[in-house]
Amino acid sequence: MSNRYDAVVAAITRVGGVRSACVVDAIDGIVVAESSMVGTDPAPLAALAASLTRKLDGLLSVAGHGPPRVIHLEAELGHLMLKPVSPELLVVAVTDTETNLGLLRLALTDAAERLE
Amino acid sequence: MRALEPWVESPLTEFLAESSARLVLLMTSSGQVIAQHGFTRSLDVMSVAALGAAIVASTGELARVMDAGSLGHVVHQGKHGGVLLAPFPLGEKIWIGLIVFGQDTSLGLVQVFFHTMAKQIREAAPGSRSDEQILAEQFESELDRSLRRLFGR
Repeated sequence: MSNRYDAVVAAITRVGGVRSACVVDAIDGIVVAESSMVGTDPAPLAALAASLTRKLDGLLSVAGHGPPRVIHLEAELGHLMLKPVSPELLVVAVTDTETNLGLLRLALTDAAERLE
Repeated sequence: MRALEPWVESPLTEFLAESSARLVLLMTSSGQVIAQHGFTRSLDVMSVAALGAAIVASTGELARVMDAGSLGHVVHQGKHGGVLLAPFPLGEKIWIGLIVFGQDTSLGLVQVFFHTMAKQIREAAPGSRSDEQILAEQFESELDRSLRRLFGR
Protein backbone atom coordinates (compact mmCIF):
# COMPACT_ATOMS: atom_id res chain seq x y z
CA MET A 1 0.00 0.00 0.00
CA SER A 2 2.70 2.46 0.97
CA ASN A 3 4.72 1.55 -2.17
CA ARG A 4 2.31 3.58 -4.26
CA TYR A 5 2.99 6.65 -2.16
CA ASP A 6 6.72 5.96 -1.98
CA ALA A 7 6.87 5.70 -5.78
CA VAL A 8 5.13 9.06 -6.13
CA VAL A 9 7.55 10.69 -3.69
CA ALA A 10 10.55 9.12 -5.45
CA ALA A 11 9.37 10.53 -8.80
CA ILE A 12 9.22 14.05 -7.35
CA THR A 13 12.69 13.83 -5.82
CA ARG A 14 14.10 12.96 -9.25
CA VAL A 15 13.49 16.59 -10.27
CA GLY A 16 16.77 18.45 -9.75
CA GLY A 17 17.02 20.63 -6.66
CA VAL A 18 14.21 18.96 -4.69
CA ARG A 19 15.29 18.74 -1.04
CA SER A 20 12.14 17.19 0.35
CA ALA A 21 8.98 15.61 -1.05
CA CYS A 22 6.02 14.45 0.99
CA VAL A 23 2.57 13.02 0.59
CA VAL A 24 0.57 14.50 3.45
CA ASP A 25 -2.73 13.67 5.10
CA ALA A 26 -4.33 17.08 4.55
CA ILE A 27 -6.85 16.72 7.37
CA ASP A 28 -4.53 15.51 10.13
CA GLY A 29 -1.39 17.20 8.81
CA ILE A 30 0.72 14.08 9.16
CA VAL A 31 3.20 12.45 6.78
CA VAL A 32 1.94 9.59 4.61
CA ALA A 33 5.19 9.13 2.67
CA GLU A 34 8.31 11.23 2.39
CA SER A 35 11.82 11.48 1.09
CA SER A 36 13.95 14.24 2.56
CA MET A 37 17.58 15.27 2.61
CA VAL A 38 19.33 15.13 5.96
CA GLY A 39 18.36 18.11 8.11
CA THR A 40 14.82 18.45 6.81
CA ASP A 41 12.21 17.29 9.30
CA PRO A 42 9.10 16.17 7.38
CA ALA A 43 6.70 16.25 10.37
CA PRO A 44 6.58 20.06 10.80
CA LEU A 45 6.62 20.45 7.03
CA ALA A 46 3.55 18.23 6.69
CA ALA A 47 1.69 19.85 9.58
CA LEU A 48 2.33 23.42 8.46
CA ALA A 49 1.73 22.64 4.77
CA ALA A 50 -1.67 21.15 5.57
CA SER A 51 -2.53 24.13 7.76
CA LEU A 52 -1.41 26.62 5.10
CA THR A 53 -3.41 24.83 2.41
CA ARG A 54 -6.52 24.88 4.59
CA LYS A 55 -6.14 28.61 5.23
CA LEU A 56 -5.46 29.43 1.57
CA ASP A 57 -8.44 27.29 0.60
CA GLY A 58 -10.57 29.51 2.83
CA LEU A 59 -9.03 32.66 1.38
CA LEU A 60 -9.65 31.54 -2.22
CA SER A 61 -13.17 30.57 -1.31
CA VAL A 62 -13.79 34.08 0.04
CA ALA A 63 -12.32 35.47 -3.19
CA GLY A 64 -14.71 33.26 -5.14
CA HIS A 65 -11.92 31.37 -6.92
CA GLY A 66 -12.64 27.85 -5.69
CA PRO A 67 -10.07 25.51 -4.17
CA PRO A 68 -6.35 25.94 -4.98
CA ARG A 69 -4.85 23.77 -7.74
CA VAL A 70 -1.22 24.53 -6.99
CA ILE A 71 0.31 26.68 -4.26
CA HIS A 72 3.78 28.07 -4.94
CA LEU A 73 5.81 30.05 -2.42
CA GLU A 74 9.10 31.62 -3.43
CA ALA A 75 11.55 32.41 -0.67
CA GLU A 76 15.08 33.70 -0.48
CA LEU A 77 16.64 30.24 -0.30
CA GLY A 78 14.19 28.16 -2.29
CA HIS A 79 10.67 27.27 -3.25
CA LEU A 80 7.77 25.42 -1.69
CA MET A 81 5.19 23.91 -4.00
CA LEU A 82 1.97 22.26 -2.78
CA LYS A 83 -0.48 20.31 -4.90
CA PRO A 84 -3.80 19.32 -3.29
CA VAL A 85 -4.85 15.89 -4.58
CA SER A 86 -8.16 15.66 -2.75
CA PRO A 87 -9.62 17.10 0.45
CA GLU A 88 -7.69 14.34 2.26
CA LEU A 89 -4.36 14.33 0.46
CA LEU A 90 -1.67 16.83 -0.45
CA VAL A 91 1.70 16.57 -2.23
CA VAL A 92 4.49 18.87 -1.04
CA ALA A 93 7.90 19.66 -2.50
CA VAL A 94 10.68 21.79 -1.01
CA THR A 95 13.39 22.88 -3.42
CA ASP A 96 16.46 25.07 -3.71
CA THR A 97 16.52 28.19 -5.89
CA GLU A 98 17.87 26.40 -8.98
CA THR A 99 14.96 24.00 -9.53
CA ASN A 100 13.17 23.96 -12.85
CA LEU A 101 9.76 25.04 -11.56
CA GLY A 102 7.89 24.00 -14.71
CA LEU A 103 9.27 20.49 -14.42
CA LEU A 104 8.44 20.41 -10.73
CA ARG A 105 4.87 21.51 -11.40
CA LEU A 106 4.48 18.75 -13.99
CA ALA A 107 5.91 16.22 -11.51
CA LEU A 108 3.43 17.30 -8.83
CA THR A 109 0.52 17.18 -11.28
CA ASP A 110 1.59 13.70 -12.38
CA ALA A 111 1.89 12.67 -8.71
CA ALA A 112 -1.62 13.95 -8.00
CA GLU A 113 -3.05 12.03 -10.96
CA ARG A 114 -1.39 8.83 -9.76
CA LEU A 115 -2.84 9.30 -6.29
CA GLU A 116 -6.40 10.20 -7.32
CA MET B 1 -4.24 28.48 32.11
CA ARG B 2 -3.04 27.48 35.57
CA ALA B 3 0.21 25.75 36.46
CA LEU B 4 1.71 24.41 39.66
CA GLU B 5 5.21 24.93 38.35
CA PRO B 6 5.90 28.47 37.10
CA TRP B 7 8.59 27.32 34.65
CA VAL B 8 5.92 25.35 32.76
CA GLU B 9 3.81 28.44 32.06
CA SER B 10 5.82 29.99 29.24
CA PRO B 11 6.20 26.81 27.12
CA LEU B 12 2.53 25.95 27.70
CA THR B 13 1.34 29.44 26.77
CA GLU B 14 3.34 29.25 23.56
CA PHE B 15 1.97 25.78 22.81
CA LEU B 16 -1.61 26.96 23.32
CA ALA B 17 -1.10 29.93 20.99
CA GLU B 18 0.55 27.86 18.26
CA SER B 19 -1.49 24.68 18.35
CA SER B 20 -5.01 26.08 18.97
CA ALA B 21 -5.62 23.22 21.40
CA ARG B 22 -8.87 23.49 23.37
CA LEU B 23 -8.00 21.61 26.53
CA VAL B 24 -4.57 20.75 27.88
CA LEU B 25 -3.53 18.78 30.92
CA LEU B 26 0.08 18.25 31.90
CA MET B 27 0.56 15.55 34.48
CA THR B 28 3.04 13.09 35.86
CA SER B 29 2.78 9.40 35.02
CA SER B 30 1.10 8.88 38.40
CA GLY B 31 -1.68 11.31 37.46
CA GLN B 32 -0.55 14.31 39.50
CA VAL B 33 -1.65 17.41 37.61
CA ILE B 34 1.09 19.95 36.84
CA ALA B 35 -0.85 22.39 34.66
CA GLN B 36 -4.19 22.71 32.97
CA HIS B 37 -5.90 24.88 30.42
CA GLY B 38 -9.58 24.94 29.52
CA PHE B 39 -11.02 22.83 32.32
CA THR B 40 -13.56 24.58 34.51
CA ARG B 41 -14.26 21.91 37.12
CA SER B 42 -11.73 20.25 39.37
CA LEU B 43 -13.71 17.00 39.16
CA ASP B 44 -13.13 16.90 35.41
CA VAL B 45 -9.40 17.43 35.85
CA MET B 46 -9.20 14.69 38.45
CA SER B 47 -11.07 12.18 36.26
CA VAL B 48 -9.25 13.06 33.07
CA ALA B 49 -5.83 12.93 34.75
CA ALA B 50 -6.56 9.54 36.27
CA LEU B 51 -7.92 8.13 33.02
CA GLY B 52 -5.12 9.62 30.92
CA ALA B 53 -2.40 8.26 33.17
CA ALA B 54 -4.13 4.87 33.19
CA ILE B 55 -4.35 4.77 29.39
CA VAL B 56 -0.65 5.62 29.02
CA ALA B 57 0.23 2.99 31.64
CA SER B 58 -1.85 0.31 29.92
CA THR B 59 -0.46 1.23 26.51
CA GLY B 60 3.07 0.97 27.90
CA GLU B 61 2.29 -2.41 29.40
CA LEU B 62 0.73 -3.56 26.12
CA ALA B 63 3.93 -2.53 24.31
CA ARG B 64 5.99 -4.44 26.87
CA VAL B 65 3.89 -7.60 26.48
CA MET B 66 4.12 -7.36 22.67
CA ASP B 67 7.84 -6.67 22.94
CA ALA B 68 7.21 -3.56 20.84
CA GLY B 69 9.42 -1.15 22.72
CA SER B 70 7.50 2.08 23.16
CA LEU B 71 4.19 2.77 21.45
CA GLY B 72 4.67 6.53 21.72
CA HIS B 73 1.66 8.78 21.41
CA VAL B 74 -1.92 7.63 21.76
CA VAL B 75 -4.41 9.39 19.49
CA HIS B 76 -8.18 9.16 19.57
CA GLN B 77 -9.59 10.80 16.49
CA GLY B 78 -13.25 11.74 16.41
CA LYS B 79 -15.50 13.39 13.86
CA HIS B 80 -15.18 16.86 15.40
CA GLY B 81 -11.67 16.67 16.81
CA GLY B 82 -9.32 14.45 18.67
CA VAL B 83 -7.41 13.65 21.83
CA LEU B 84 -3.65 13.26 21.96
CA LEU B 85 -2.03 11.51 24.90
CA ALA B 86 1.68 12.09 24.70
CA PRO B 87 4.17 10.86 27.29
CA PHE B 88 7.59 12.51 27.31
CA PRO B 89 10.69 12.07 29.47
CA LEU B 90 11.62 14.71 32.02
CA GLY B 91 14.77 13.74 33.84
CA GLU B 92 14.17 10.25 35.11
CA LYS B 93 10.41 10.78 35.19
CA ILE B 94 7.75 10.53 32.53
CA TRP B 95 5.31 13.39 32.14
CA ILE B 96 2.15 13.13 30.09
CA GLY B 97 0.41 15.73 27.97
CA LEU B 98 -3.27 15.29 27.29
CA ILE B 99 -4.48 17.57 24.54
CA VAL B 100 -8.01 17.92 23.21
CA PHE B 101 -8.17 19.66 19.85
CA GLY B 102 -10.89 20.59 17.38
CA GLN B 103 -11.21 21.02 13.64
CA ASP B 104 -9.53 24.43 13.68
CA THR B 105 -6.16 22.68 13.99
CA SER B 106 -4.77 19.25 13.10
CA LEU B 107 -3.10 16.30 14.76
CA GLY B 108 0.13 17.08 12.91
CA LEU B 109 0.25 20.67 14.15
CA VAL B 110 -0.56 19.64 17.71
CA GLN B 111 2.19 16.99 17.64
CA VAL B 112 4.77 19.34 16.15
CA PHE B 113 4.15 22.06 18.74
CA PHE B 114 3.89 19.50 21.53
CA HIS B 115 7.42 18.29 20.72
CA THR B 116 8.61 21.90 20.90
CA MET B 117 6.86 22.42 24.25
CA ALA B 118 8.29 19.19 25.70
CA LYS B 119 11.78 20.30 24.67
CA GLN B 120 11.27 23.74 26.24
CA ILE B 121 9.96 22.19 29.45
CA ARG B 122 12.99 19.88 29.64
CA GLU B 123 15.27 22.87 29.20
CA ALA B 124 13.41 24.94 31.80
CA ALA B 125 13.04 22.19 34.41
CA PRO B 126 15.06 22.86 37.55
CA GLY B 127 15.41 19.10 38.05
CA SER B 128 15.03 18.77 41.77
CA ARG B 129 11.31 19.53 42.06
CA SER B 130 10.30 17.47 39.03
CA ASP B 131 12.17 14.52 40.48
CA GLU B 132 10.27 14.67 43.78
CA GLN B 133 8.92 11.30 44.76
CA ILE B 134 5.22 11.21 45.52
CA LEU B 135 4.50 8.49 47.99
CA ALA B 136 1.26 6.56 47.73
CA GLU B 137 0.08 7.74 51.15
CA GLN B 138 0.73 11.35 50.15
CA PHE B 139 -0.97 11.03 46.80
CA GLU B 140 -4.49 12.09 47.76
CA SER B 141 -3.44 15.10 49.81
CA GLU B 142 -0.99 16.05 47.07
CA LEU B 143 -3.79 15.78 44.50
CA ASP B 144 -6.14 17.93 46.61
CA ARG B 145 -3.42 20.53 47.08
CA SER B 146 -2.71 20.55 43.33
CA LEU B 147 -6.37 20.93 42.41
CA ARG B 148 -6.86 23.78 44.89
CA ARG B 149 -3.92 25.62 43.37
CA LEU B 150 -5.00 24.84 39.79
CA PHE B 151 -8.51 26.19 40.37
CA GLY B 152 -7.61 28.95 42.79
CA ARG B 153 -9.73 27.53 45.61
